[in-house]
Amino acid sequence: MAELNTAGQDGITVRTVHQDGTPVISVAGELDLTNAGEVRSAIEAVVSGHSQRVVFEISDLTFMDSSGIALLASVTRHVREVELRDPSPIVRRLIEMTGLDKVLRMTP
Amino acid sequence: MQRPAARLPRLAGAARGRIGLRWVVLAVVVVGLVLTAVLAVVTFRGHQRAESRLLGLQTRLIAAAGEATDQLYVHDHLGGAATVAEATGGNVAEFRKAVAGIVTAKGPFVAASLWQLSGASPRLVAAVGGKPLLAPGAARLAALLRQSVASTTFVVTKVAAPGAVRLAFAAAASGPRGGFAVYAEEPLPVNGRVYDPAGSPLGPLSFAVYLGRSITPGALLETDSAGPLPLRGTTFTTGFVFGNTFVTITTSPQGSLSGTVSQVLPWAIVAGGLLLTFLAALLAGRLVRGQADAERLSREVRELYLEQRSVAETLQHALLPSRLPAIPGMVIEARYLPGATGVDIGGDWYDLVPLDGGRFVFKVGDVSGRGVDAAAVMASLHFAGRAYALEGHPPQVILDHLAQTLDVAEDGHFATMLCGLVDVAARTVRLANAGHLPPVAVSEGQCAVVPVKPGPPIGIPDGSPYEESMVTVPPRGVLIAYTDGLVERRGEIVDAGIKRPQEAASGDCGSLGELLDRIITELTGDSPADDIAVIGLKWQN
Repeated sequence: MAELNTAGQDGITVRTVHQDGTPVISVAGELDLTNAGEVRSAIEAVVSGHSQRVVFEISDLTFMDSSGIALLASVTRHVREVELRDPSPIVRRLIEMTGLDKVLRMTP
Repeated sequence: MQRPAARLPRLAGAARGRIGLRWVVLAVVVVGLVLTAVLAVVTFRGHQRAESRLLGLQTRLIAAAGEATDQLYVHDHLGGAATVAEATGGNVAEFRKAVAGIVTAKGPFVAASLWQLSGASPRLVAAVGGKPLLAPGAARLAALLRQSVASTTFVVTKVAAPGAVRLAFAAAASGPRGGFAVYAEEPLPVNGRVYDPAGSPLGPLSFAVYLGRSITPGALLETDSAGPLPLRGTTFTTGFVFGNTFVTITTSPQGSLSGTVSQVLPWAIVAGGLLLTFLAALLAGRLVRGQADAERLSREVRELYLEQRSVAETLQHALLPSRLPAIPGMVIEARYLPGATGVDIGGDWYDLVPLDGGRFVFKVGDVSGRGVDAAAVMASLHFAGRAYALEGHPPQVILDHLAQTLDVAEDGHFATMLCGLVDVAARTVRLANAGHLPPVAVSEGQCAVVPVKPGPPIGIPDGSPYEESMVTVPPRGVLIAYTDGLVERRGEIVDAGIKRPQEAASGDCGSLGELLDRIITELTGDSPADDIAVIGLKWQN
């Protein structure tokens, strides 16, 4: 069951599917100060209901600034395991350089 | 001190708005009045032209009708009677029969007589009707009769007696004997005054008819005008040949010939034009005032925004050291540039705390997010960081302690920070990194990134303590630490950004201040998009 949380506004799209009980949240576009609040409210309900594991599918996330990092990092405070699936090289290096690769586990 | 200065442009703007309003309304009124006047004049001229054309047409028709009627009565009847007399040798009975229909008490002729002209003086053959004003034997009558024989047409003159005015006609027979002429008198109204019969074609006109070509009181035959003569205002004059002379007709319209609508139209246009001009001016005034209001509102919103931004900027500048403390053996320079774009200021900062024994702690940090919130988080990290440094903690412990003070889940912000403890004499730097970009080292024109393994940013703990890296700087070496506004570009991998300060710092250095300025200018141009904080440390030995 796919659930469209927010679409196309401010250059960002958020969709949620559930795989074996784990929410997989696809975030596509550019995540920055202008839309981080919108994305936060879009994923809030999903994240608050799952304290064990949440997956962010971010292969189409082309840019993220510190607001995006703050958003993903704050999810780790509620959820035991946060996985970032298929990050682009830009996002991957950003997370590594920021010392967050332990907090936000990236696969593969 | 700044508040009154900030108010002044607002007042000046309002005054400018009012002046603009006045000019626009004035322009609309002028254009409206000019258009109205032009339309009214054009319509009025058109009306006048139509009037004068109609007047001319009607007057010519009247003249033609008058000419036909008078020719019929005078030429045909009087001339005809003379011809009968000529043919019958002056038969009285035939003459009486010929003029019986035209000589009556009601006119057209009131007296007629037949004259034989073969002798030295005219001889009266027969007389019909009333007593003529020119009595038989009058010299003027004889002259008139003789003149008629010499003329190819009838002759006319005006005769007057006390209480009566008449037109006198003389018509001679055209034939071989040429001895007979008819004399007749037609009554004219006393003083020339007549009344138009109802339904007369002359109804809408005032007219004056004159004998001859000159318009003089003495030549007046008849008029329906009670006013002074000659007729005034719009007039039209025409005439026709009448016997041996001429009849002149002058007319003037009593009202509008082309109808009430045409007459009233110019005034209706004036009234309508004035009304439209007034409404247009009213509308223009409202529109301009509305625009001025919107502009004023937008100015005020902008001023409020600038005020808010300046609060945050003031807060941030208060936290940045106005002058860096002097450290013996070191040259230290720092730069802070607020971003040109974006809604609020960022949370970039740097700090330097001198310690004893030729040592000092420096920090460069960046709080996520923007605005007064971010500046407040920055303030708490700034002061707590100074306190931990003064207590003599090494960099990784300072970061560990600071990490206890912030939680992104609760505060909504995290901070990256590079913290270093410098021993000037030993040229060593102990560095700890909370998710911040690594510093660069410059020595003898060579530039390299100093690898400092990053721990997580402050506010996002991962459960493990920060690690420390030890760097030894070569003699007269330079260490530069900065925030990501200097290198970050959208759509670019961060490693590419990190290379740029290295490239810009390579080569001839100049002074440390010049080096920092050159790096900032080369990397960001004159107006950086994001906030930038840069601190440079240079060993003098």
